[in-house]
Amino acid sequence: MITPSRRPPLAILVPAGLGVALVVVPIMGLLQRAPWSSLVERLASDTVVEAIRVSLVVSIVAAVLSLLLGLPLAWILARHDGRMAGIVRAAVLVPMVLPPVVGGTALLFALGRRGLIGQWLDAWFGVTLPFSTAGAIVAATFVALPFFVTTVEAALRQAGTELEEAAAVAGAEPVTRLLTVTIPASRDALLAGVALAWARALGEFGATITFAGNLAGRTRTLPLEIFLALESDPASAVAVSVLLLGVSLAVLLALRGRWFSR
Amino acid sequence: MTLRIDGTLRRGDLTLELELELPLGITAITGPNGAGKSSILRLVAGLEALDEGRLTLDDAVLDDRAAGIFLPAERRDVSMTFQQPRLFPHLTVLQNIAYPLRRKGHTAAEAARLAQPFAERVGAGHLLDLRPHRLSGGQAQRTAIAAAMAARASTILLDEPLGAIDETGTTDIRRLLLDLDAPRVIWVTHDPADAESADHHITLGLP
Repeated sequence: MITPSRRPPLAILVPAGLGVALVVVPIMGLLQRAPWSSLVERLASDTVVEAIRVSLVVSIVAAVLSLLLGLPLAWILARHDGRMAGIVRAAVLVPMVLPPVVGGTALLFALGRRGLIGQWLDAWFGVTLPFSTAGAIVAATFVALPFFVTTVEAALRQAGTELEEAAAVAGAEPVTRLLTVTIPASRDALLAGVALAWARALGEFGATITFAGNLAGRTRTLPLEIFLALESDPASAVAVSVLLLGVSLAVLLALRGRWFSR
Repeated sequence: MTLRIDGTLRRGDLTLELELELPLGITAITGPNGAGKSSILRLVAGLEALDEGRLTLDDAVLDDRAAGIFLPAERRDVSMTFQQPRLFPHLTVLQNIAYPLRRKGHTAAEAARLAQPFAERVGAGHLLDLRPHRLSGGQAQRTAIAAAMAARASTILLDEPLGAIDETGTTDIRRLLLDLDAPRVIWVTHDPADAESADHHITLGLP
């Protein structure tokens, strides 16, 4: 119950309320248009199932790669404060603020068939990333990695070096310290980092369509499927959107203990 | 078996000029805050390096920047307890005590079996399956002391081990610390009585 004395002034209440409306109204709009009776049937259609499969493969592999590459990176950034660390941190965070389509373009000129590195990948290994599932994974990892790194770096920094010192005196080599102390002691942050990276990878659109294209069964993830279906079959587009909305809310709920209970 | 520190440590404003011999037996180190008591333990443990000079154990050089020698903590024959006990939050009391044994290559089961008597010696035998967040300050420090004992290092470093424990519980721990099996114990303390009971006593002044 809001008593008059506790109610914030209108000058604050109105813009705050508009802010909430901006987020909530579109979601309501989506839910109101959702083809509830045929939802399951639409989500079970061949094209959607194929997009779900591509999306799961791409987002899960991207989340795992974010963990494997991001954990050592986060550890180095949390334990070093020099100029070099600052530069590396800034570089890793770029994809968070970069328009994804720019990221995709950059990937194309770096890893595309004629790209900086891509030409050698093609000539030496016969690997062509654009228009392949591997390319979609690279694009998704590119945008997802900073979410993992920032989450985990903050946690490792906060945890400090005390436990690692204790482990060192107890005879643990650096990698053993990381595996037996640092990682298990910051398990919650790692899970949160993986969840955020996965959610970001699942929603990735711009970098994927620019770098990896829109090929059914290979690079057409759920967001690309929505974009395509909006023209031909809007009801299916809404159905897939509702699915992704549900997944996003589930991720948020899973992270709730971490963010909301403080 | 003499440990010698002969050198300089600089940390920000603090410059410590050290010329110390740490013989076998129990050496108590006392002195005001900021005199560098903990820094001496950290140097011996290998958690800090001297900026100049050297740290030697008999003929072996453990730390000498000019010669490019530094033996890291995990390779030194040392164990340590800290002012605020540093227990691993994801491990039980018994697993914490067994941790240094695991690092020596014992299997988990073997390490747990070897660790148990140490838990009992410090009076933590009834806490084996608890995780550190459930322990009182005294129980946590007892666990940390047991882990330091279990490592069976030839030097045990104690950084104000009774500081985190309330008065009533300290008598038996004090007796335990004076009775450690390690050949060399270096004990940083505020309490003149502890210094009295030790074999050797070093008093640091403010630098």
